[in-house]
Amino acid sequence: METMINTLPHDPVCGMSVDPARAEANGLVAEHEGKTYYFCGRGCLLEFGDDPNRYLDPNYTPSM
Amino acid sequence: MSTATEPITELVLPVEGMTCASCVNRIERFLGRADGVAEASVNLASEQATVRFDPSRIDRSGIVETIKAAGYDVRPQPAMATRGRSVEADLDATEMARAAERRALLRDGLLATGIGLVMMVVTLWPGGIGLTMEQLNLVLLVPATIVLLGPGRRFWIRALRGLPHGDLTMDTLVALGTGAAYGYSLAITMFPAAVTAAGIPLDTFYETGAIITGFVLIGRWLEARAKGQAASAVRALLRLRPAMVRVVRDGAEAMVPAAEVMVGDVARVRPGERVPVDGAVVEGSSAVDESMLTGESAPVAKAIGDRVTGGTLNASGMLQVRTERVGDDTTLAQIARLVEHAQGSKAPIQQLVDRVVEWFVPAVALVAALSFVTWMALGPEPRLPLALTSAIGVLIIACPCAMGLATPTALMVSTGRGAASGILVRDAAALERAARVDVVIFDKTGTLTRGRPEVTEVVVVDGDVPALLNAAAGAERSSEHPLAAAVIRRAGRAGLDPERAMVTDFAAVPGGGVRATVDGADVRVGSARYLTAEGVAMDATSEALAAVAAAEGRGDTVVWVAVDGRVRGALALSDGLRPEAAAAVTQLRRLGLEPWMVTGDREPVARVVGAAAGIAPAQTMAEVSPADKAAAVTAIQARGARVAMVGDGINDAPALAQSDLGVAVGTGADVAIEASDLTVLGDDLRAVPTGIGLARATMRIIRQNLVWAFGYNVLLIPVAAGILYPFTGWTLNPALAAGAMALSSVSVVTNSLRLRRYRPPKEG
Repeated sequence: METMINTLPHDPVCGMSVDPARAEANGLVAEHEGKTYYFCGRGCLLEFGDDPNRYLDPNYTPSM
Repeated sequence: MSTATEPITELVLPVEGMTCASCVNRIERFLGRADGVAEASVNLASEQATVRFDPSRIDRSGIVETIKAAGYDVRPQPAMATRGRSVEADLDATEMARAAERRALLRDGLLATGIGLVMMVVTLWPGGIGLTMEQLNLVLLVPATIVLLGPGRRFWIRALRGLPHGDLTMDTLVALGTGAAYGYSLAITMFPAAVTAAGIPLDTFYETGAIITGFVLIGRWLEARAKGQAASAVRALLRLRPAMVRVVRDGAEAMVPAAEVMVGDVARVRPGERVPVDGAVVEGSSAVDESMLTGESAPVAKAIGDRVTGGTLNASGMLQVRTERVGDDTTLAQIARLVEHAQGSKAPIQQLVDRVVEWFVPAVALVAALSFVTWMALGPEPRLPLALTSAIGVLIIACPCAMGLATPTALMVSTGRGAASGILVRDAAALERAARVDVVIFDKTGTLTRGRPEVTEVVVVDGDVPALLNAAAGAERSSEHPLAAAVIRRAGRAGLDPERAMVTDFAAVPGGGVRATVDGADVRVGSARYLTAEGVAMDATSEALAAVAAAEGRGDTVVWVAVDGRVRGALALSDGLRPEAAAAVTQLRRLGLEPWMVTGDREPVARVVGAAAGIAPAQTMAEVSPADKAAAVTAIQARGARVAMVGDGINDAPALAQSDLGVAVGTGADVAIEASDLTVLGDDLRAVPTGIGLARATMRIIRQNLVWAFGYNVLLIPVAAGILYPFTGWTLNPALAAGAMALSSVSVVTNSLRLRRYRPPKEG
């Protein structure tokens, strides 16, 4: 893997690091207020879609 | 112990597309919100969702839809061509896999042990075999490596797999022990010159490693074998259903595979054959041996309309049975599922053991390291081999595998033994609760009594018996009350045909009585209070009143019969106590339990029935409404007692749920098995003391197993570490340690097998 782990984007729902290329290939991407977010899987994508502001709130701690 | 009116069904679905625990939460949340779902548990590792639901409010497709709504797919099941065999097929597949694994264990164990013994003989051959130490070591290297990479492979694989997770198990200990032996020996073999220069002898431990591997594997084989025996009870149950069924279709008889029998088919069962399906008798009569279900060997008479269960033995006559349930829906399949579920369940005590094992393994590794260091620092020459021997010995002797076996093996044998007597326990937690019960409350109607009242006396005030019965039976014809059925049966016995009368204007008052116009006459049947409220003058002869008073004193229920506004007579009905009730109560007392009775019936009736059963008046609660029964349970629990409630599982749901142990008796083999804590198939009340006694015996065996397994390890660890050396010169040969450890596992399993012979306390 050429990408260093620290520079990978994080899933805002569960906090997992996500490979953006893989996420894009599987449609696990979402746009919200001009920013792009990547997700580990469908579940987190859907969760985010249901209530994006909850997960973007600075006080929200990504967890499983 | 469920409060649902329908049996809770459990379904396991493979779910695709989960990536992290958020997915798990999401699916569980969606399922939990679905109407009809009692519980949903999703496992990321196995990619399965286990859902418990009420089939009357949601079905499989509804659950699949819910999962889809959450954003996931359910992997489509391959079409089950033989749906009728799926429970058996599952068990058979599991059994074949287990048998294959057992064979592999034995083969590898014997191979490793054999090689080890040969190596040992070669090493110790008197006079030597003409090779130098260096050469001998090189020769021994070959078989030792074979054992390490062959039979010994599984320890390494498992130990390494667990390492990233921090999982230290028995495999870790064995891998460490044999690895150390092999590594040390390899070093000596490869660098003999350096080793001799350091003052270390050239003796290697190759044969030790091989023998340890062999013994541990043989020990595991013995464990697996015993587990297989314990689990066989369930498989034996399922094999009782015939594979081919004689079905009558369109007037012609055909032999059809069991999987192809459909609901509605009529099956013909000859004497001596096993009943193939669950259904109702439509022709013929016979006696059926239901012992495989209820444990009672006395054959049960079956006539037209009676239900029979697949797997029971038809004794004497020819029966034709209309199929009501096939395959996985049959009582037998449900029992098998329940027993399997119970056998696999986690007992609270087992969770405690697991926690102990968690710190035990690292603690042992520490002790081994400590003993190694101590010997190296203080030991007599040759230090290194001695230190190594003791460290390896500690690692091996401390293996906690016997502890891990203590509960599951006892549980397996126990559930199998219970099932053989028609006692089904829901899971291990229920078993533990059953063992700790102090008080047993019996519901009266339908549990202590048969739930089938009969007319015991006909009291005439005006007119004659046939007229009285005709009027009463006619009025009761449209009533579904059990008393009505009793009255109609009594009329039948008097030669009357209740169907012949002209009956109109039927009305029933719950708790009061019934009225109807029978052959033009106005008939009321009910309690004295009801008749008075209807304007009937309760004029009766003194003899009649005396007879009624006597009947009530006996505990009978009395209904009065009035025709055209005048009292004509009364009927006394009694709900017989089950013949074995008193014996069951005595057995409970002998176990040190306190029997109670609760009923919605009136005080006089309750007193009589209680006395006949052997329950003290102080422990009889009468006139308790269904809602208050749960409160009654709570009241006794408040005194610190652990309460078991015995009922029919249908009408006393809240009380059963409130109790520490809910016992359902007499639900009959034709009712789907509800998930009470303890279900008694058949209706012999003595199964209650037997079940509680078995639970206690099981807990006793589990405690014995744990003490033995743990104590044994703990005692021998210091010996392996060499604590006796300064006094007696004893150390523990690691090979012996392996043998001893295998022996402890075997003795735990053997001890558990003792439960097979459990006998309930004798009466009298």
